Amino acid sequence: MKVQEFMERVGTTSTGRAIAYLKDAMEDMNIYSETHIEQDNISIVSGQRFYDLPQQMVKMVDIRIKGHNNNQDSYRSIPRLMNEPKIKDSDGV
Amino acid sequence: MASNKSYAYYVKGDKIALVQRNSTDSNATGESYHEFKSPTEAVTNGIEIEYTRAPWFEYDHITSASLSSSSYLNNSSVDGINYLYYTLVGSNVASTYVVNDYVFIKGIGKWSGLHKIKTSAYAGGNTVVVFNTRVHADNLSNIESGTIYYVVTALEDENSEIQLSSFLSKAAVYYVKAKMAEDSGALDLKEYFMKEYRKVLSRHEDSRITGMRKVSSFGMNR
Repeated sequence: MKVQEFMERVGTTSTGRAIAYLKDAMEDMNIYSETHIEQDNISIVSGQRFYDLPQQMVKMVDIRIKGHNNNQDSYRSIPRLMNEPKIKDSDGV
Repeated sequence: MASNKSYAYYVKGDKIALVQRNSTDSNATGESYHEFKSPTEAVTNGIEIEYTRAPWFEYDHITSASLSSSSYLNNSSVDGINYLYYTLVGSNVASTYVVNDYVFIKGIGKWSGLHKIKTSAYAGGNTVVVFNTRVHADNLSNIESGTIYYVVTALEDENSEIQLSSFLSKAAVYYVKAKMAEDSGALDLKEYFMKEYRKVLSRHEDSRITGMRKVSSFGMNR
């Protein structure tokens, strides 16, 4: 469906407003229903604790690490900690 | 004894904190066995993040350029304002990066995402593409890993194609109608459209689950 047809269905003539709300709708859908899944890889740096999350991320689905609890370098899901570990990191946030 | 690495994470603001379980007993340094601390070794592409994103742009997965030491991102000042830019050393691909088109960059954390091309030129033997993305008070070192996808379609005008299935487009119509009703103060109407929106979305979810469903009460789980 093109934006033109979408606007006719909504009953509006203001393109900018329709597109802005359409983008909101797409974000809302992906929080509620996970309609579009993406995958990203980041390299682990020795001694670095904090890594930027992708800017376009709406909802995190899973975090997997290469070699977690295995010797085959396969990616496995890792658990989320409830509390921060006692040993702090020097690279900050 | 197995020498497996064991990781965990927590989220802090817009960052993920990755920690590794200490596998050596080093009481002398005050760190105890099994305590979590920052990763102890580098792993290329070690973190795999699966996430959802709003599909208001779509990109061609094949036509891409990998970032490296001769193909990198950095920031540059144009008219006193810092912008993100891309340099490809020794090649002229300026015609690939058309001004006002978009590129999608993946795998570089904070700077991942959609970037609009401001200028594109071949000068001094290098292609330099400046993006409209402002860089605030960051002295970036060259970003040499990640991927640039340069065939991107974004929602821009009335001729743009909406990257949703026809069923989900109906849900989007209800959502936008609800927002417009809210703007005009018709809150009853807004609630009605939001209810319809959730109903369509729920039916979309249901359509992907086949077979029998079991529902047990809370008491049965005890």
